Amino acid sequence: MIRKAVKILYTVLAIYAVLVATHLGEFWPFSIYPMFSQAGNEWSRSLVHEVGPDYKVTDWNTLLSDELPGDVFALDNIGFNQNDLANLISKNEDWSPRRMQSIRHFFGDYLDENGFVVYRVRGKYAEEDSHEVIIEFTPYFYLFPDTTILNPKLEN
Amino acid sequence: MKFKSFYSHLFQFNREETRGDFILIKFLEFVMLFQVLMYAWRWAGYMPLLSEVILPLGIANYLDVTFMFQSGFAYANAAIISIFMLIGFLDKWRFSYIIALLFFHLHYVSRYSQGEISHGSNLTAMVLLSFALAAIFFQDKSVRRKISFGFVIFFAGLGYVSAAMSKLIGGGIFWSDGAHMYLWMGERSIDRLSQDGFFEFNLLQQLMFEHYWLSTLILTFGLLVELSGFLLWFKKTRWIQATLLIGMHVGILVTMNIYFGPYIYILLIIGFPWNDWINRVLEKKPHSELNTLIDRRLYA
Repeated sequence: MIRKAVKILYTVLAIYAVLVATHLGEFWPFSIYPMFSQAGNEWSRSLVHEVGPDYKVTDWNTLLSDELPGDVFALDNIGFNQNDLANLISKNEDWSPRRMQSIRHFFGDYLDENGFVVYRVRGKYAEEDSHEVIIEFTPYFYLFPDTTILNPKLEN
Repeated sequence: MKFKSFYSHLFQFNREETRGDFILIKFLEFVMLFQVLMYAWRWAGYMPLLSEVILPLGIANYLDVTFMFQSGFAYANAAIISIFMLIGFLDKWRFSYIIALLFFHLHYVSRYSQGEISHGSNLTAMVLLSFALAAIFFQDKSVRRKISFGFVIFFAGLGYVSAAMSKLIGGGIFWSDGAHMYLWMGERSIDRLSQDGFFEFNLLQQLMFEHYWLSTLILTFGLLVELSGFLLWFKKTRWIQATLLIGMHVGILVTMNIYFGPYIYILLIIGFPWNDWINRVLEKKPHSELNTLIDRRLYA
């Protein structure tokens, strides 16, 4: 009995090893558990601010937190997970109208009478060998009831 | 400890199954069932929000899973998972758990197709795999329970050691530099702000920002606790290791606002000698109805 159990264990371990080795460390539920293994690297997340439907878009400068217009819009309001929006912003290279439409879809009825700006948020050390972290906000796109304005750098 | 003796202890083949063992393992199976159903229906409710696959994981590398985002498919899959889980729990068909796991895999890769890899459900699924393997390959129910529990203990310990090794490979021995924590705390502050609309650093986080050594100490503790995850494999050290791991998970919650609830619950069940404690209580009234009821199931 014990031999059979050990044989099964080793077989599963072999399958585990092959699957994670051939799929960048992840073949759920098999994993090498790489979370937080990349220490000290710059990170990229996202944040949505509610700016109202009549907000005038004047520039696309990168800002600090106390310079942001409007108020934070909690993604809990639309039941969307912040990890998914952050990855959509940071990993996406396709800013086609179809993709933008799918992003507008997340906001549902909230877009009927409101305007939002979606920021890509970057965190990094202020200087090399510094412990101080600075967080910068770059507007990626504005969503208004009848229009979407994309950061010109993304359009290019 | 000799090689054979290690496995004998892991699978408890060196002792007769007790009433306490039976209750403990059935409770673990029940908690696993609850967690799988919770994930299945929660993810099913989320998937209609999605429209495209950003990062294919697992089977999604070979199968276009966007059909799961269309009306009804995610709910149908959740229903299929639930049905096979219940058949497995009621012990009606030995292949039901493995089939539930395959559909659960499809569910996971569809839900987490947006670029973020979540490890929150991995241990739950490894518990399911453990019960599935035991059900497929072993006829005797008492042996099945011992094997399931042994696999769960083994995979839980392996996962933590693997996590520690990944950190050491990715960050070297300076992985636990307290300044790294400052970056992660900043990242998590944006995550919570984005999700909830508000965020404030708690007292411990403020202390960590003020005292670099404290931040380094907490990261070092976490790394060492993960690295010693293999101590779950030995009965004598299991409760100590489980306590440390639960402490680490509470630490992750307080410092980085990440809640690994299912891990904590599973560690609470497998990490402590509940079976011995249950036996002690049951032995006080050896002829009670509860004992008779358990014996009927135990020796079925």
